[in-house]
Order: sequence, then structure tokens, then C-alpha cells
Amino acid sequence: MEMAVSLMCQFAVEPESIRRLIQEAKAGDVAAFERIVMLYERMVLRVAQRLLLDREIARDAAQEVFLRFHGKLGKFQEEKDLAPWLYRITVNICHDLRRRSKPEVALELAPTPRHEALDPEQSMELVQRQALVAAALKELSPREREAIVLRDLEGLSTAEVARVLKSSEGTVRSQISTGRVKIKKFVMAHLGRSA
Amino acid sequence: MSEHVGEERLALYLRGDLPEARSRTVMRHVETCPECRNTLADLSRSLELLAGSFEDPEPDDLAAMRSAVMEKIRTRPRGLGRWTWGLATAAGLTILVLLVRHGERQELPPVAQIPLPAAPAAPAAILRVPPVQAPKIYVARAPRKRREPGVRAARLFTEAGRPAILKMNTSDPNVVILWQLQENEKVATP
Repeated sequence: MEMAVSLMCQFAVEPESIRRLIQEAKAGDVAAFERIVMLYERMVLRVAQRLLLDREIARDAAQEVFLRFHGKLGKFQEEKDLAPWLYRITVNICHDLRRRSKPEVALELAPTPRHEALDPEQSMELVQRQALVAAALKELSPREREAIVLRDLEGLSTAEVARVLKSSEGTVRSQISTGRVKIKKFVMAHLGRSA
Repeated sequence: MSEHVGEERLALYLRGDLPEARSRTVMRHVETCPECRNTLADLSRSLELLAGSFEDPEPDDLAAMRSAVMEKIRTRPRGLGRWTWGLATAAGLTILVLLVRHGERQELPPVAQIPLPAAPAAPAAILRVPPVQAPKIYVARAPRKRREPGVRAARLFTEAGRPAILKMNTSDPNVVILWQLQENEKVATP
């Protein structure tokens, strides 16, 4: 539900306003570009964190996404939807970073300010859950993880995921089903049916 | 009861990723099969756990990322594309090479200062002389005309009482063929 709300917030911005901002940014208006970054930064960083499972590297990836977007601003057609394009660049950059930074690093489990707001028991439970989920995601192949993150965590349709990953819907469906089954097996093996 | 539905198919059914007709078939089966219902429930729980374990990015992370991006953009030179950078790098390298060559040429001592290798008793002095290399000169030449190899000219030498000799000049001026003819051999003449 939280995810759906965040998506709603994302697309609550009028496409016309985004087009205007892109035009202004193309003309060299840095403030307009910063406004675009503010509109999409949550989406980009969220996907990067879920794909890379590391806060620091995800921040670098998100930074690279916006710098690449800025570099290609002149060629970007305003009438195109920016979100799928940013999703694709994010996935590609994370893919490259993950390949370069082997072996894979663990999800950062240091307590965040939000964890500190919870009572110690809840905080510990959340940390354990995150560790389990991170370990489950690592069981997936890179393409399966990308498909699961986009479909199940970002809420994109299978067709949208296929467009982002430049793949066919059939392939994406296969990646999603295999990924979901792997996650289920991993979680059930560690938590049992009471999960 | 019909056969169980495969886990992969149930995983797709869970979030409406199956075509409608197949989805209806799975639904009918699941209604009557407790085992498939349990599998479906496990799949559902694990995906809920997945979605519920991730938090949105921290505002601090967002602010740090944005300020790093904006700082780089503000300091980035505008209007310089990849080609411009490539040309600038190439020009820089060329200048560097020219400067290095110029420096090498200046390091050569004047001819008057080069000690002469006079006395063979002091070879060390000779060894200390830096080698002066003449610059290589490359001259462009027009491609040579290709000549077909073979006999260019033939002349028959005859002398009474001696066998005739056929002298053949070839395309290679260094090769001349002398062919001593036997008595019954005739030379075809044009």
C-alpha cells in the first residue's frame, strides 16, 4: 500500500509541468533541473537501494543516473515519459555496479533514525526481516531481481517491466514466477509457515 | 481432483500475471485444493514480507545525493560534448609529443663540443659521447609499375660446326637464359 501511495505521489505531477521543466533545463536552467531531480530522486534511489542492497553504493548509482540524464538532456524528447527512461538507466547502472563490485556486499543493517523510533524489539525484528529479505533477493539472478523489484516492489505492470528491461513480456513473466518461487522457498526455509 | 497447479503458475496467478482464461482455471482448482491453497498462501506471505521489509530512502540520503549531483552539474563545463573532449585530448597529446621532441633535439650537444675519438687508449671518452642520430627521412615514392615476369627478348646465335644457342633476356636484368639447342631441334621463328 505504501508503495502504491509513493507511486501515486510520483505521478501526481502533471506531465505538462515535467515537459516544461525539461525544456527549461535544456535551455540551461539549473534550478529547473534540480526540480526534476527532486521529483524523481525518491524513485531512483529506492530502486537502486533495492537492487544493490547497499545504501552507499545505491546513492552513488542514483547520482550517476541523474548525471547521465543531465548529459543526455539535449537529446531527450520532452514528449517521452521520463519515469520509464529513468528506471531503465537506474537498472543498467546498478547492473554495471553490481558486476564491478563482486562479491556482493550485505544490506546495511545499521539502525537508521526510523529504527531508533521503534522499540528495541520491533527494531530488531525489522532488521532481521530486512536481512532475510536481502538474503532471499541474493538468491535470484540479476535479471530475476530486476524483474521482481520493478514488478513487486515498484508496482509496474509486466508490460512496463518488459519495456524497461528491453525484454519480452513472456521472458519477464518467467523471471517473475521463478523469482517469486525462489523467495518463497528461501523465506519458508528460514521462517517456516508462521512467517 | 485435478493435478496440482505448478508453483510457478501459482506465483503468476497471485498477482494477476496470468492470462484471464488460465487464471480462471487456477482459481477453480485452488478453491478445491487445500495443498495449492497453502502454497499460494506461502507465496503471498513471502511477497508481503519482501514488500514490508524495505523502507523508503532516508531524507538525508536524498539530500546528500541531490547536492552531490547539483554540485557536479554546476561545475561541469556546458556545451562540451564527447567529441569536443576527444578533439581537445588529441590536440593536447599532439602538443605534448611535439614538445617532447623539441626538448630531445635541444638536448643534443653542438657538433663542436663532441669529443673526437682520438686516442684508442681512452675508450671511456668515446663511450661518453652521446650518439647523434641523423633524423630519418621518409620520401614518398610513386608506386612502381608492375612488370610481368618472363622473357623479354630472344636472340639465336649460330656458328658453323657448333650447336646453336638461344639467348633469352628476361624481365630480371640479372637473369639471362642461354639455351643450347640440339642438332635436330628447331627454333620457331615468327
